[in-house]
Amino acid sequence: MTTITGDASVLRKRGVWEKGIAGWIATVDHKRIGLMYIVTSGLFFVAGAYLALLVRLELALPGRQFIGPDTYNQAFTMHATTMIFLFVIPMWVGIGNYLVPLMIGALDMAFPRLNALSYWVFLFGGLFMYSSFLVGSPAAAGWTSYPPLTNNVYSPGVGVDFWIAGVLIIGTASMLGAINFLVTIWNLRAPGMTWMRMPMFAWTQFVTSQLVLFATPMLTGGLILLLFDRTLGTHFFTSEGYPVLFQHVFWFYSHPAVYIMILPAFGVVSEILPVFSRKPLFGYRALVIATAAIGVLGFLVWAHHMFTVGLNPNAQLVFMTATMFIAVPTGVKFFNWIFTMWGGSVRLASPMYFTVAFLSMFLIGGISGVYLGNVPLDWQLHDTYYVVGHLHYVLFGGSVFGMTAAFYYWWPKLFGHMLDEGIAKVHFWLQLIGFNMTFFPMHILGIRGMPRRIYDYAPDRGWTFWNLIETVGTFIIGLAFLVFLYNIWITRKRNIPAPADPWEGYTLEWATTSPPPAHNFDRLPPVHSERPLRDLRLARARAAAGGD
Amino acid sequence: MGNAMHKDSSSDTGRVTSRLIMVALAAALVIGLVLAGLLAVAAFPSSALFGTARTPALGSPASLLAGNVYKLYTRISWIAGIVFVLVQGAILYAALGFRRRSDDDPEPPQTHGNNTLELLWTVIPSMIVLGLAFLSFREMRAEYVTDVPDTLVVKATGFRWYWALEYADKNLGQASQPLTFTTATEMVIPVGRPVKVLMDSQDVIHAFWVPQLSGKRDAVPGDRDGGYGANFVWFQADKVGRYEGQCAELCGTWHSGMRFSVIAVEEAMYDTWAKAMAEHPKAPTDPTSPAGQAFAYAKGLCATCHMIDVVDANGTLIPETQTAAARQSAPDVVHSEMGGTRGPNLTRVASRSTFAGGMFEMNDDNLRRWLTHADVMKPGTRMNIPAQDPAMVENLMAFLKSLALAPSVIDPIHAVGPHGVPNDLDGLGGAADEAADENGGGDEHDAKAPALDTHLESTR
Repeated sequence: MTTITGDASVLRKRGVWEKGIAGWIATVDHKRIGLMYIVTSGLFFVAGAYLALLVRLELALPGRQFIGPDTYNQAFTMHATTMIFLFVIPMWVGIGNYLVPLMIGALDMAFPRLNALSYWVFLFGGLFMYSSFLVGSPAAAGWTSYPPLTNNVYSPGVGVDFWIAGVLIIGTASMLGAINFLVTIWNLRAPGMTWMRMPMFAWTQFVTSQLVLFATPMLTGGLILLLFDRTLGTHFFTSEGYPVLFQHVFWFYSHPAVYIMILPAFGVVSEILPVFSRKPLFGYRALVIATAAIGVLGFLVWAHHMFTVGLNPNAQLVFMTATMFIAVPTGVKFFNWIFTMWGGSVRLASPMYFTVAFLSMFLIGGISGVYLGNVPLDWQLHDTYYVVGHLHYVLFGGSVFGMTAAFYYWWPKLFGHMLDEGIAKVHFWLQLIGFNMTFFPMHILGIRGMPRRIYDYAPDRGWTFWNLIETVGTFIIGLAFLVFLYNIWITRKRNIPAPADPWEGYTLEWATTSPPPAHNFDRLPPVHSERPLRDLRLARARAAAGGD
Repeated sequence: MGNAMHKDSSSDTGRVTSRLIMVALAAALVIGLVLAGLLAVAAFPSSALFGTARTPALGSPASLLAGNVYKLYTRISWIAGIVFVLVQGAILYAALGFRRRSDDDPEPPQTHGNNTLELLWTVIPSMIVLGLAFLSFREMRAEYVTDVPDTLVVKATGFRWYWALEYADKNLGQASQPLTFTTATEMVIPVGRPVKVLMDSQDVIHAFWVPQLSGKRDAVPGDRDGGYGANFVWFQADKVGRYEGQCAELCGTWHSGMRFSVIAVEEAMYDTWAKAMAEHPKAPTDPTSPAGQAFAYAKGLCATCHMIDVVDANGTLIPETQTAAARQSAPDVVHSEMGGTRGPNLTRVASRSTFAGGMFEMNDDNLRRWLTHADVMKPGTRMNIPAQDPAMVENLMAFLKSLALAPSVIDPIHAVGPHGVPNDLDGLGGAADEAADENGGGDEHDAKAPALDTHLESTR
């Protein structure tokens, strides 16, 4: 056993022992910062979900229901912006912030103060963006924010300026966080934890952070030029300039952003599947390579979002082929996950429910992506509800189901008590049914000619039935979320303490108490493989047998 | 399962496992068939799956290229369906077929990987995606044909929020001087003749899309992409019919109201229509007549944004209702910065079946409301006219109708509906339109119309 050498006076100085609100504001403890990220992005999720509800209610039937076209455009713009920049990305940062130091056996992140700074910058960036609701009207040009629509001629008012400034601030927070993750994972791994013994979740956070670090500056630059166009009268992206250039810049960030949102979910299921199958991750090395490959390929496919803008046909062929090849490492991951369960001793507890659903839903999202990556088909399906369906199967069916699995798996570690398994199953089925009811019909609508981002549609287009089904599905998702909140509330009230290692885990975070002390570990087990806690259990069993 | 299974003998366990395999595979198959079935049927003809004759379904193609894309879709769906059922079956089988029966179960064999298997599932998917890419290479090539004889060229210019359509037909004119005319929102084309639609935009990015005829293409303002010239799409309608199109790139407030129709008719019918369209009607000669009064009024107001191609007694286009350039060359005409080209060309507006971005059926009631409450019917429009003299509204309507095509030319075209179904525009969108229908539409201040409600609320 290695003993962590920590200087208690340092911990006191860091303020983690302070009580109350001041303790939270002053904290530099990665666990508290992680929790603040989780709660903040959870609240932004509620705001984003409310906006989604507005969108779905408006589309439930043809004709105007209760919001006008401008409000509608603001609602879907801010829904997407919120869910991407203020919910999914920071939620993974929060979960990673809490877990990565624990999983690699570190005392904290490498730069605790930078960590606190990135949280507060993120929070105020989000609040700044949302303040556009108060000062006038928020942006209404879609989260893609394409000029010339976002020029001051076609988007007068401050909405787009707030949007740009908000994204710039949040992007800065992201980059600070990414640097912190990279340095932490590079330098602070426990003795014995080589790269190839590192938990997959830490690996995915490592690759994700690289994507953030290399992609975000591109978006930052593009947005600053767009802001110049709006405020200084420059012509980078006006019709006198080159509007399509913005799309290149935007997607050079925003396609990797898809992987920024989904890779941590890959990490989560790669942690849950082995533990609940009582087997090592099948093809660990291949999964690491596949993750890295996705990280690289993710930078080479951005133009598949732009097949209809009239790119050089040869360039389109290249981007189409690169896009389709992303299916290869993703397929490798799929088969590795399936074969982790195969021949195992599979325990279907709540984290596994959501993990299996993640596999099934992400499979659909992956397959529908192949249709969209196909240039002639994309000319039909681009900018239709098919795309909206596809992206929600990836981001909701993938990221959010992975996130839910992560909550059920790590909840006892974070809060010291288990979530209720019975309520979890109600939550699961409602979320699965609501999700499919809402998003599957979108594929049908896309194939049947319904463009996305439209406020209204004609009754004679035959889209009404499916839109109504989707709106009903949205409410079922809402109900599922309420059941989840009830589960959180009731188990907190019952407050039955969880053991340090309720699931027979494999990774280091289960070696410490639930929740962990401020200094994370009293004693750190030795790391001789990718599953140090199993090694520890076996060693103890041997010692017990020997001792008898 | 669970604890009850703990006492089972190994043969029982084997039986249960094989039963689970069956259940998992059956479940995957059912899920797969339901989803694939829905997708397949979804692409089937317009009327399937709660659709109508007017549903612009990929599965009701009306041109060779759209048909080929639909075939490609079907082929990929077969491959995707097989992959889905196999992988989904494997997921369910692995999750359900190896369930833990008791917490006392021994740890299963600790397999860390299998190089052969992992190589296989890298190579096989690579082959599949290469195959898929190859299928689409061929399809793509077909859409980049550059010159086809007999082509009808139409330049589609996106405005917020309608499409202006400039025709240039070499078959009907001469090669050096094709027959030209301008219309909007309703594109009449001959069946069996290739049509090349060139894209342009005067404000933001729009996308031209008629699903049953071709894929969509963006209309980018100031298009200068890599020397490939303006974006375009090709199509050649195989069947007579009315095909619905819609702008597919977010372009602001009323993006959802930027619809248009392509009406494919027999070539002779098209030729008659095109020749009639290219003729310029005579301006009203009597300034005291209703149409004459309206024309005087229109020259001052409407012509700031709209062109009206009318000629004087000598057959010369009247400059006041032309572009800025034409006005400048005419000495006594007030210069208009906007050049009369922001709104759709009004010459034959009364001969279009719909107006205002395809949102309203062209009839007296709708037109009357439009001339007084355009901003309510089309939120965000620049057509924001102050309260007008009701008599002048009637005059304007009389003037526009006096410029219309002969009924013998246009009525047979408007009788064409989707897929041979007779045309019926009752399902046209726009809550205000429906309200107008219900209430006879005569009352411009109809508080029951939802769109008016909005307007009143927003001005309160």
